[in-house]
Amino acid sequence: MKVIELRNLYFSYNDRVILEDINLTVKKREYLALIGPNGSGKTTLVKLILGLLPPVCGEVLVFGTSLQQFKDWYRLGYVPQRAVLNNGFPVTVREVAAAGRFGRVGLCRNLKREDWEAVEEALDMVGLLSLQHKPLLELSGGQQQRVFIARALAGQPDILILDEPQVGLDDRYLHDFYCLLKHLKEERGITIFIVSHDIAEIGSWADRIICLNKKVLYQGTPREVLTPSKLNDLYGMKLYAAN
Amino acid sequence: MDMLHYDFMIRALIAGLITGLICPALGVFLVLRRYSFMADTLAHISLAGVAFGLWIGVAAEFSPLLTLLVAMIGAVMVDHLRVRSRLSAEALLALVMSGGLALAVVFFGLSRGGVLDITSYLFGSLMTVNAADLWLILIVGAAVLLFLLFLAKELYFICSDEEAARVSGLPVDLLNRIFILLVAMTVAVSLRVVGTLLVGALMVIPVLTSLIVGRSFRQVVYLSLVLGVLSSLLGLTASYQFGLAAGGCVVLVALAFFIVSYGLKGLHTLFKKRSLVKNE
Repeated sequence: MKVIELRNLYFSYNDRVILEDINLTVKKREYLALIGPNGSGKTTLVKLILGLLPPVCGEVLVFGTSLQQFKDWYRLGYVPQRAVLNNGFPVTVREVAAAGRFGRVGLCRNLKREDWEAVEEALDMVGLLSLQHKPLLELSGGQQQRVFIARALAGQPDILILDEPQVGLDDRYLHDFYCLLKHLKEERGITIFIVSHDIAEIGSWADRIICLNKKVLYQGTPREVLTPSKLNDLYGMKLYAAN
Repeated sequence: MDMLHYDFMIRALIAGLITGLICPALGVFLVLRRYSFMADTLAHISLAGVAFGLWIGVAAEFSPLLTLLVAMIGAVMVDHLRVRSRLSAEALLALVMSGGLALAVVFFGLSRGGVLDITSYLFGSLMTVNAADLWLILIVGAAVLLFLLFLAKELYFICSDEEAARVSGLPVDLLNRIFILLVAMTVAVSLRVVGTLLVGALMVIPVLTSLIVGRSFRQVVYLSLVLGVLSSLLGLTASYQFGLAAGGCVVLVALAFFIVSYGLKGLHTLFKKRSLVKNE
């Protein structure tokens, strides 16, 4: 079953073409990684999927529904690139994570006990339950990033979209983070769509990799895609990844 | 307590209580979104509305309604520019604020008179809150409190991370528009009590004080409300006792709370550092 489908998608900004003729599908329970050099349009593609940017032409379908008609936004979890709140924003870890539940709860409704349980479960998954009452700003950059991952998980989404979430995570937690994504996919059936710059590591975890540089250059299993010649094509320099 | 024998003082205190509650309640979201000058901008636009009313000779009982209407038109304009233009927040607010003040000055000039009215609108006055004003303040206060009662969590999400709030399916643009209209209405009705030049301060200073003390969003909101109400009531009482401008007294009390909190926080940090050094 296709959970995301992009058809002939184009996007430009100030006459500069950012993305052209993007066609791709993401299947249910797939672990898909999007890689590409800086400025290749990875974040733009994520924003198009999330409806944060309007395409110049083409169509985005989520769960078979065009974005214009799509209503079940709570089914998408999103971890932005370098998620940060305004400096001095007074908020606890628990309050940040709870916001991920708002889409599922709906307008004008308060969080109930089961919602708070979901928030606590999400914090537990990222190993921050014991710090839930701490102000966010007292946490390290990596811990803060984990809070934003928990926020996305608190909504119990069917698709988790992560835009370079590894930025700021320390090496010690990085392995746990990849294990968590694998667990979410295998035990909970969540589809993972991750933008990554960590080519060496993502190859060991993803089912499929898409190489993007304005257009989809290659896609396939890590073994098919992460070859020196294809990476050379994508990045314009010699890169080697362990398969 | 002899001040409670006067009707004008009871009206002023009720008006002060409500404005002391709703100004910081909305101010929390303005400060955290770095739109602290929004209230000042809308206050200057409201002043243009007051001056326009004086110029065209609107009856006194309809003057607050006209001010409210002009403030709301101004708010829609600010919101439109915020979304459509590429101006930074402070540039946009400076632009509209200057425009509002310029219009106010020109309209006051054209109206040839009403100096007393101008002063009361600039600095606030206990005497000027009439029954019609009070009803308007009560209606606006009820609208603001109902909005926040039902949609505070959505506003919190928008103000902490607007992009993520959009992805979660919240009607961000609609909520932003309603919010800014409520800010405009609050500013317009608060002019009578604290005045154009100081209404922004009542929206911002209690929030800044709460930010020094509060450790969570919830704490900051509740503390802002308490400080807003205390500043308003103590300030109005001082204004009555010493015959001073109401707005100035209210804001000075709010400022006193800020200075005390800031000082205590500084001392607390100092003692904490010293105890750490001793332990090492």
